[in-house]
Amino acid sequence: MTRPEPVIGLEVHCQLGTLSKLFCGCAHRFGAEPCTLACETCSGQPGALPVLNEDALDLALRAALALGCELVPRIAFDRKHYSYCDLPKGFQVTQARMPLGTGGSIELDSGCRVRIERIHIEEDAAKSVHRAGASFIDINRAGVPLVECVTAPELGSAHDARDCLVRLRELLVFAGAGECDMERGSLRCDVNVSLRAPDGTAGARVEIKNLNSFAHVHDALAHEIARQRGMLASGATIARETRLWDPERGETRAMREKESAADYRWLPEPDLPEVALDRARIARAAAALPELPMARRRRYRTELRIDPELTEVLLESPAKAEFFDAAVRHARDPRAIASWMANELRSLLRERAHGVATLDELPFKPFDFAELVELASSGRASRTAARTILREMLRTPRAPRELLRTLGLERIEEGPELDELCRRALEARPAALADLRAGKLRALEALLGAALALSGGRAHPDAARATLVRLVQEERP
Amino acid sequence: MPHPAEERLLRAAELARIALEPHEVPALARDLERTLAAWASLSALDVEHVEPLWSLAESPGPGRADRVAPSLERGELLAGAAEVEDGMLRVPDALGGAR
Amino acid sequence: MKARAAVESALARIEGLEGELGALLDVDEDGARARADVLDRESEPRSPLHGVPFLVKANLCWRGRPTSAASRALEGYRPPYDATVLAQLVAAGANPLGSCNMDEFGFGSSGEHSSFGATRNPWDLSRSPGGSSSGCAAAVAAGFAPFALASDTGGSVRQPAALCGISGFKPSYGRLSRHGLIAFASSLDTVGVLADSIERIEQVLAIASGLDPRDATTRALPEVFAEAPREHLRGVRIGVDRHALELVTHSASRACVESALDALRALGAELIPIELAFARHAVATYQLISSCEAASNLARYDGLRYGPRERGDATLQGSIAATRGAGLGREARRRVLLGTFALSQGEREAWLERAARVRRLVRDELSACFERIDVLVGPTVPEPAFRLGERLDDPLAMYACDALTAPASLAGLPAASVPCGSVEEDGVALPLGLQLVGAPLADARVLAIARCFQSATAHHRAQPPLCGSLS
Repeated sequence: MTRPEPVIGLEVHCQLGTLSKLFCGCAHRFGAEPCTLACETCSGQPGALPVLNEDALDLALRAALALGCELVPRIAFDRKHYSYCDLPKGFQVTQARMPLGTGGSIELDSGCRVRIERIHIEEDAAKSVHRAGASFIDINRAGVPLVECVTAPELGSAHDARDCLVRLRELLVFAGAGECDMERGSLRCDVNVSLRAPDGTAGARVEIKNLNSFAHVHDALAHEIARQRGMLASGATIARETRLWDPERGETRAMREKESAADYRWLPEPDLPEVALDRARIARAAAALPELPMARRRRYRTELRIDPELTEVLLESPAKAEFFDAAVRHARDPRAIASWMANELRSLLRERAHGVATLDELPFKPFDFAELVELASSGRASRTAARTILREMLRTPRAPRELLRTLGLERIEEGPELDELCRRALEARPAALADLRAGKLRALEALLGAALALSGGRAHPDAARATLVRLVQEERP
Repeated sequence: MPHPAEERLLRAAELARIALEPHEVPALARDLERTLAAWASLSALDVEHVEPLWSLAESPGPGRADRVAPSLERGELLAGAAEVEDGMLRVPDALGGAR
Repeated sequence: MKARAAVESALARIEGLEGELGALLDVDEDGARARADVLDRESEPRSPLHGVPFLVKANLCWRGRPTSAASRALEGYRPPYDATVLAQLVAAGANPLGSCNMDEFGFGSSGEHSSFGATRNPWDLSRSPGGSSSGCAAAVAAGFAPFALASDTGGSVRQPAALCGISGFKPSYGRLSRHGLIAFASSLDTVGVLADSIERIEQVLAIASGLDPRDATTRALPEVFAEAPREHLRGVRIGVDRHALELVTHSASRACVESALDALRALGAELIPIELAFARHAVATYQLISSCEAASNLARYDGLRYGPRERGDATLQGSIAATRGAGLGREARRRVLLGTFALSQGEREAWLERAARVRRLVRDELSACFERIDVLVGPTVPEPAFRLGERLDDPLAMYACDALTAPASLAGLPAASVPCGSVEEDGVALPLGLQLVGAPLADARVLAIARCFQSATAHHRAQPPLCGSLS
């Protein structure tokens, strides 16, 4: 007998990266003192009116286009009424009749596409915390612009759901919609899950809230699927309800507040007249989109032959991907660029060498980085020397070639200096020398090691090997 | 057994979150019914091919540029609030009693 | 020292008459005096309204002053900002004196639905001044100030203007900013003016109008505000809806309106009969839509962020319900409950959506008239001021007051009411008003025609006998 299969959909809220709120000029910032970023409009004072933030619409457009959605011809808003402490006007302004975009899709790692049913613009609610038998409201978040993306209920496992969220987040970040940071609450995700019986009948849908990380999304779904399967197996009925994920207990539990089926009393928002969405505006939003992550991933892996692991590092942020692409334009070997970004540059940034922690703080350009990598790849600088130069480049915007010279790190590839180094290496390792004289070529590596050490890493390995061999050969009478 | 008109009224009162005194219910229910009956004259009109008119503002003003404007001082924002604690509005428990 | 003298004279009148009228909720004596002194020291007048005292309806936000919309739900509330129209007038040198009583949140046409006491008609204290701008109309009629800023949603400026014998104007929707007007019905609310003359109204509108970045429903209207004064109405085509006239059943009132029409003819206007098939549905349409929008706009009054709060059963929802139960008066409850019902799932299409479709029919038909006429004229009210208490328990009778004013509201058209004489009842002269409705955005034209009528007839100069009691 086949098991009932999970049917999962995501509802994702992403804060748009504007300076001010959706309908008023209050700033939106994470971590401000409570109730210091509110005005008469976002705090729902009598007589206050909303006025649409044009940039919010543009960022939302980018998100909708990135998802491949079909756009609506006019921008219209609706009032959704319900009573809760975090809703200053007693209604939320959202888009019901005409969501900004419909019919898009997102590609998962597995190559499957999940349909995006809709993406629309709405305002965020205030923040409420509950303790000691009371609730406390911070109005700062009320009115922050959001896009809500709803996927079709097409995901079939906790794993896919998590992947879908990761891909969706990545797409929204690359589209420039916002920072999408789950820890800071600028990306939030609710899921809904039901089990479909082997005969195809759909089970009751359970919504799960309070998922604050990708891991939560996976774990909550895994738990809930198991819970529902268990209930079905024992003949119990699954209630259509909203549950909260409790990460400490590792379980979902029913929300205490009993909800009757919501009647939102939808009303077209009379204070925000409909505005036509003109082609020029759509074209500008489309032009502002960079190459999107999935396409980039394919290009890096197949065309540029970058390893999957390195590709993921490059796609960690749009800034990294753009830096990489810019460097590659001046480079012979994209794989080397990728490797140096993922390893040497990354560890220097982690270390905050010379106070530089992020790509946009770099005093040098991708062009310079490409030059550095070329110095290393071509062998003109040893890896160690190149690392030293890179570190120095974080301090001062000087060309790598110049630094190679001024730091005295040029490779020793030939000449009396090389000969002298090799002679000393031979003298320092009599046993190895004896082996080499005896024809055991393996001893060459040990001698090479000594020569490199004596040269501070500057001896060119191939040239050094050749010199060592020549010197030994020249010894023979 | 509540009258259907009273049931309608009570549902509306629940949705609208207005606590009614028991003695007002019959009169309000009557008012609701009488008013709806008067409005029912609209159902006789043929509006099949007529689009709803939701707003008179047909050439609306532009939206706002994305610039930050000063917010209210917290003191002024919360001046009219019944209860404030730690710079936040303190309101009755939204989670409905004992946790 | 004209500004200060004007304030002192107003305050003296208020002291003498307010006790009987109940027209005011708040008087800013010290503020008005201080502002007057500053205005008197200025060498150049900022505008024709420099130093002129005025009143505001209690639903216009006045920063720091009690602004309650005559509701217990906002008792003690002091807004943290000014309504745009108030700020515009103050910037132009006009001097706000205080705020006026009204029907709670705008719900009502009699002044009896205030939570802080009814307002009385200065022409007959046992009668209603109309509403919802009851206090503004009574105050201007009693000479407390030459004009008041008010609001008109379905007739709330025009109807009390007519019943109190003064001039009133509801501009085109979107001409004046609603930022700071405590919302009743967002797609219908219009800031309006009650005044001692049409000329005064033109002065006010020249200042308080225009695109407001805080209100997305305002528009930049390029025309110059006032037209040059006319001495006659030759060439003006005046439409008359006979059905509207038939609503005036009282014969003396009908005669009064007919003689106003004769006056228009005498001024040279051509009177053209107009048939409006959908206007009779205006009251139901207006009541439905406005109740739904009201239910929505009042959802914020939950006592959580401002306003008085009741504990209820100490849960959030219990407290909200108890707060709203205590804060909303009888008529406010009715409107919110009706609107909630008409918006609810399963009812919305049959009620709200249908009403919105009928609205389009009313609007299109009315606007189309103006291809054949310049202005539509008729009675503002079906009868003069009714007695206080007469309609209190009959909401439908109350809503019927809107029959003649609602169509222009649904269509967003500019509409004025000018005094056109009075009828005698029980030995007391009770004023009546003539309504002039103009083409879309033709505010200046309507006012110019009204002004011509006013100069020729001088009904607006009549004063209530109450004022004679002041020596």
